[in-house]
Amino acid sequence: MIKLCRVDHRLLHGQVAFSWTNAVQADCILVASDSVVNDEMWKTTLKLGKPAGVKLVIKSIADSIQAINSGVTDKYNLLIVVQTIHDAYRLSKEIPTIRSINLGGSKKQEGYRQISKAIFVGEQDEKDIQAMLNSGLEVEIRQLASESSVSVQNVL
Amino acid sequence: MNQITSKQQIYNYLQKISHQCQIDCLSDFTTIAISKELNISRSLTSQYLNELVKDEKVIKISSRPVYYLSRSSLEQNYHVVLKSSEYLSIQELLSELKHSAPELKDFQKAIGCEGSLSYPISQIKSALLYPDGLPMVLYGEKGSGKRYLVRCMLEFCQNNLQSKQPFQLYIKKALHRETAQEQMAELFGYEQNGQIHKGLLEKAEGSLLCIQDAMYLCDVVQEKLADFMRYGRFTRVHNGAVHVQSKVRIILCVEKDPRLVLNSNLLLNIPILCHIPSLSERSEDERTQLVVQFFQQEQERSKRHILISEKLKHFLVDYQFESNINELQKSVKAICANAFSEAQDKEYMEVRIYHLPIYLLQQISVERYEREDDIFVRIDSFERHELGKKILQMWEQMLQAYLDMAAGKYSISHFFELGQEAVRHYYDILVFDEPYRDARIDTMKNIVIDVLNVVRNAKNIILPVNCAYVLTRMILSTGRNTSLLNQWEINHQKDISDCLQKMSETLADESIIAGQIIKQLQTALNVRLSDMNKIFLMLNIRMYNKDLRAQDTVGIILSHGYSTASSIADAANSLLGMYVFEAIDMPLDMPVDEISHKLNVFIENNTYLKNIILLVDMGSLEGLGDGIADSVNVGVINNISTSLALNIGNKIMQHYNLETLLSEACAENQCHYKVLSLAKKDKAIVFTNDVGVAVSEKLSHLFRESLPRSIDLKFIEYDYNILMKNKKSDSLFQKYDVVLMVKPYSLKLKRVTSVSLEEIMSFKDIDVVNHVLQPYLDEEEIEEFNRRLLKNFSMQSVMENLTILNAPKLLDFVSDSVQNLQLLMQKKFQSRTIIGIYIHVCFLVERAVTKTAFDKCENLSEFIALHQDFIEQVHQSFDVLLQHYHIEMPISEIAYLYEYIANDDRKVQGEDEF
Repeated sequence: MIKLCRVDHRLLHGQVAFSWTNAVQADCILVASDSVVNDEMWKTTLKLGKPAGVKLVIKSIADSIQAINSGVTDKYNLLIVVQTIHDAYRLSKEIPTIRSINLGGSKKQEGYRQISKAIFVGEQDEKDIQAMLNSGLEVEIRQLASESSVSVQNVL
Repeated sequence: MNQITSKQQIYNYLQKISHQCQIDCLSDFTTIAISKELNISRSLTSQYLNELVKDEKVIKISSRPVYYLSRSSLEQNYHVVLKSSEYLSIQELLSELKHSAPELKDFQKAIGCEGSLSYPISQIKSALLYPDGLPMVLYGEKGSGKRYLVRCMLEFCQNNLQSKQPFQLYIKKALHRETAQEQMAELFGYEQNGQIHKGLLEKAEGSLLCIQDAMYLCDVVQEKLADFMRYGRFTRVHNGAVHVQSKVRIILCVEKDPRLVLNSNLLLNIPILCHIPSLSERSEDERTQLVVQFFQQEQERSKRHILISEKLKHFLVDYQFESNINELQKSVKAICANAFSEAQDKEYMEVRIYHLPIYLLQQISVERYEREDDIFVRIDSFERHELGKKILQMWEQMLQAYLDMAAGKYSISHFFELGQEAVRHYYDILVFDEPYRDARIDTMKNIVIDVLNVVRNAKNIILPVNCAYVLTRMILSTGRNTSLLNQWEINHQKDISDCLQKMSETLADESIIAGQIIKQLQTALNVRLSDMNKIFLMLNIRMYNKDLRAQDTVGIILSHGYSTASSIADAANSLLGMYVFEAIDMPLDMPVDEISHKLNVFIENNTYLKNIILLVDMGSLEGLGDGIADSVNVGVINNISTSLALNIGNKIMQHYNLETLLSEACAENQCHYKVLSLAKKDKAIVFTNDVGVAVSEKLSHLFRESLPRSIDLKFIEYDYNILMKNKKSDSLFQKYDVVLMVKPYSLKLKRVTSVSLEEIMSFKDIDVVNHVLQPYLDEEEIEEFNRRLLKNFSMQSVMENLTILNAPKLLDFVSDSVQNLQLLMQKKFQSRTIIGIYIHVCFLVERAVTKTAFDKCENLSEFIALHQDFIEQVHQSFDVLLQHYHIEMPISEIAYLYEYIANDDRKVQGEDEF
């Protein structure tokens, strides 16, 4: 069961990973990223930095979709982390069981618009968010689980 | 030849065997022995023998059994004329032989007449026998025996020349102080007051005139003497008108070379110049004879048997007397005089070293190998110990055997048996002979032994040590022109060379080996060895090597390079223990023509060879066989190596035939190979990754950066797929000694120390890495490396995600702070904890700087109450960092840190699958 699908360009780090894992009672974290899967060092960092007692799986977007849709993840309380809004869109498009998206942080880039403390969006991101909203998904902005949720419609 | 009568046959036979007859061993001289030997019936033999006795050709000894001896042989041997033809016993014959023994005539009395003096004597004889004689000069050192020879001349003239009045000898001793007038008057006579005073030339008419010390004759006298010799007449002093004719045999004696001391005009008229050798120029035999003779003379006078110490004898024989024989004789007299006083009441007189005159006694040197006892020997018994004579006896025996064989008396193999018999007999004598001490002989013998050893080893033959000893004696004796042996060889030259020729034909192998020995001896000793020496050697070789089979096959190793061939040949020969291989080195710039020339020269020099195996290395040399002489069988084999040479060498020694030898050698010499070790390779740490080379590059960079200093270790990024495909056989492993491989699990490589990145970063297997680095870094440096590795590793994560801060600088601060914290807490965090803290704190700092820190909402009062010391420690260790960025560390973050560190002990887990 997918507990959370989060966008955070720093993926798992310290307190963030910690607070969310605890909050959603996740027992398995899936890092879905085409770039991480090809970066041994980052993978290693992630493996070292993950919360204790939790399974960590790192897969490309395509593999992630396939794995989740195959049902092998059904037995887990799954926490999915992606790096970008677009990745979240790609996942949600193919995986019907993703019902909501959490925006934790995105990288500040040239020509990006800041919509919250830690969220910067480009044109494509806005389109993707819009598409997700249109398909009935809930998209919220929230860094830590203890913070209050802000619906993305309110800041767009 | 076959037509000779039985009587003649018997006589010839007796003649022959009597030649070497020894009176105490006469068993061959009985009727039975003779009849058996000649296959003539006993009665007939007896009849003929008695007839021969009546003819006075044979001597009969009527003992039991009766012996028959050839009269002429006996008389020749003992220089006697036998008065009777029948003797009652051997004793009777012996007593007569002894009694009339020294019936020697004129020059025969001179010691060395057949040796060193044989040439001067033949010169003298021809001068004397020439009608009316020829003037002559005798020159030789003081005391060398000139006057003695002159006296012999007189005797010779008396014995051999017809003359009206008896020959006389006139002697004039020229003196330095004499004036020309005095000498003129004395030699040529003078007239005074009409009265004629005859000079020596006139007085000696028809006789001999000897002028001693002729160099003291005044020049005018010498001139006048020259005129006399030319014209046969002279004028007396004070009367130039009367020409006196006289026929005188003039002998001039000088001590030095006449060409230097006599008037050249005079010399022109003297056709005969005789050199009389000095004592030291004479052979040892002769010197010994002289010593013995002088002692014998003293023995006669003193009526005492003289016993001489060996040492004294050796001294007298070896000492170089200044006045030669003369002084030797004087010394012997002095010795006997000294000894006589001790021997007055005795029958024997012992002479020893201390009887020497004092000036000679001073010359005695202490011998290194002093013999324990000095042996005294009867002076009369000396001649029998003469080795030269023994050798001569052996030679005579050998040659006689040959001559008999040549005359068809027996087969060649029987001749060899007889020859060997002579050698064996000689060795027997040698064993009982007093070993004669002479430094020269010893040294020489050692050289001869060395040479024999070399040849012996090379040819695998046996030669007794005695052989070297005899050979040395022979060489020493024949080395002197004047020696007995040499003389004998000259006398029998033709027979000897015939004999050698015949032997060489039959004993080809022995001849080759003897030839080689002689060649080596000649090179080593610089002496010439005679044909007799070769015959002796050949007989020796035959005697001790029945199955001798000379190598008719030789291997010649030819190889490019300055000494390759020689080295292989040397090694093979010494391993085989036999000289099987010759070598021809071929420096790279040497043309093939020259090689075939060398080969041909070799073949010409070694005509005995039947087969030649050329062992060549390669290429142009293989075609070499075509260009060489076709007098031998030639086999060529290539790819020469020491093992091939050994193989072929063995087969040559076993006398394989050429074809089999080569084909078997070829078959047996295959190349095998195995690789034992590779050359020292560079050591390397290899990084590979299934994701891509870029990641490997990053990793390798990270490692290199973390080293506290550069070390002699290569860092290599390598393609993962290639390794997957080639595994351990990849060229990477041939090129480098891979001490460590950082790779994913999926790549399995045997016997390569490898770790995955996680294993390193989790410090689970950091020990593996540290172990690899140990040879290069000390403990502190490794610690430093580990710390920097962590920091740099964390950097990779931080770099891309920090947006406003300078990541390396920030990380430096963080790293220092965490280090401080560890010190304060006195606790070493796990690496994964440290990385986690690094990353987290970096982001925390950035958020704090951008004022985007998370709001804290948990209840932290309990934490503050419980962990005041930890909060203090964090503040303290992060102080520099916080100051620098002008930020504060929220309590919630400190609480998070605390929890993070508290969980430090938890196990690290790897990447999971669902």
